[in-house]
Amino acid sequence: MLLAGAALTVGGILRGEVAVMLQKAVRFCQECIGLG
Amino acid sequence: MAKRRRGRGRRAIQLFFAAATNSYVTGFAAGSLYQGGLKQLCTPGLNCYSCPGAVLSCPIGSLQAVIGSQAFNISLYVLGLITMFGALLGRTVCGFLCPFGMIQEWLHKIPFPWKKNRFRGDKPLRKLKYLVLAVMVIVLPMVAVSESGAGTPAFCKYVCPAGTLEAGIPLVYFNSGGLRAAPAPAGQGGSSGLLKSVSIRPQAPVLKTGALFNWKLALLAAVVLLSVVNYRPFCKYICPLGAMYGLMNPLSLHRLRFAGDKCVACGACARACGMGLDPSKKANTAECVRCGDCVNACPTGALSLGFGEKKTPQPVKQPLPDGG
Repeated sequence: MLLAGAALTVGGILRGEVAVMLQKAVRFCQECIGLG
Repeated sequence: MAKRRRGRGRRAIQLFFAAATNSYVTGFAAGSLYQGGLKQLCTPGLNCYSCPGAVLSCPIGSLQAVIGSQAFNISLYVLGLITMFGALLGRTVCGFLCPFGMIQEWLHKIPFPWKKNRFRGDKPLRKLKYLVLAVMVIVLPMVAVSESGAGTPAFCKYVCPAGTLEAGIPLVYFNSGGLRAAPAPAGQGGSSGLLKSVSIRPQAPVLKTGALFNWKLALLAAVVLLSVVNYRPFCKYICPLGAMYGLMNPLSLHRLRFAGDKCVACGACARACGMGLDPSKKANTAECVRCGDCVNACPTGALSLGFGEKKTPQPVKQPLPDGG
């Protein structure tokens, strides 16, 4: 299960998911906290 | 004595982890968010990435962000991280590393004459978190798409009380130097909401509060009040992250170990368990947050927390004395 998790993580990094995630995480997401 | 030390040790870990993952102090003072590289990583517990102090990303928020993006339908990255945390620790994450779990535990320490951890409907209600995970975290961000093409982070937007507590309230209150309500723009404000429109700094975004924020405040208030009565109600019934770790709990490397040969069937562990479980009958169920209260309560040392399974014989039934 640990290896499967690692494989998924690497797969996600290679697909470029981290940039998409980071884009949301570093901005004020008013919708995310019930303000928008 | 050692048991008390163990309990204090867990509380110290909880406090340290909550402080470390929310250590961007500047964020609280300046009304800004940490934008460094650490936010590429997810914290194991539920901790809003819009919290001004957060230095890591929330796995549930991130999962919805990627699912709701136009580029991807599912996040291998976030699911992979959650799988690794789950494989290693299972719901030990809930018991040791989740700031919102810690807050609920503190609230449960408030003296109240009517503490109720077991009630009719408790068991089926615990399945609700799996529904929340499926519908609010996965399906709705996929299908409820706005005009811009972005999916709605339904759990964060409509449910998450951790986000309200850690991000919504601080961003609205602290950054404004208290509550400094600005006049609401025409057509966007009225007198019904608790808060309307708050400017945090001249250059900062204007945070408009209304019915949705009031709903989330009400939900948070409900969780706070219920936490006084019931041990970790959000973890038991709502938390989608706890649901995911729960599925991995029976298989995780860190686990609750039960030595049947030492058990005297006194029931102390079941009485001590805030989650309403009986570890002597079944350890490592999906509901066990591995807080260790049962370990501390056991008079014979039959329960322990650790990595890997200790192979122990099952309890030997003592023959009843003659005539007994």
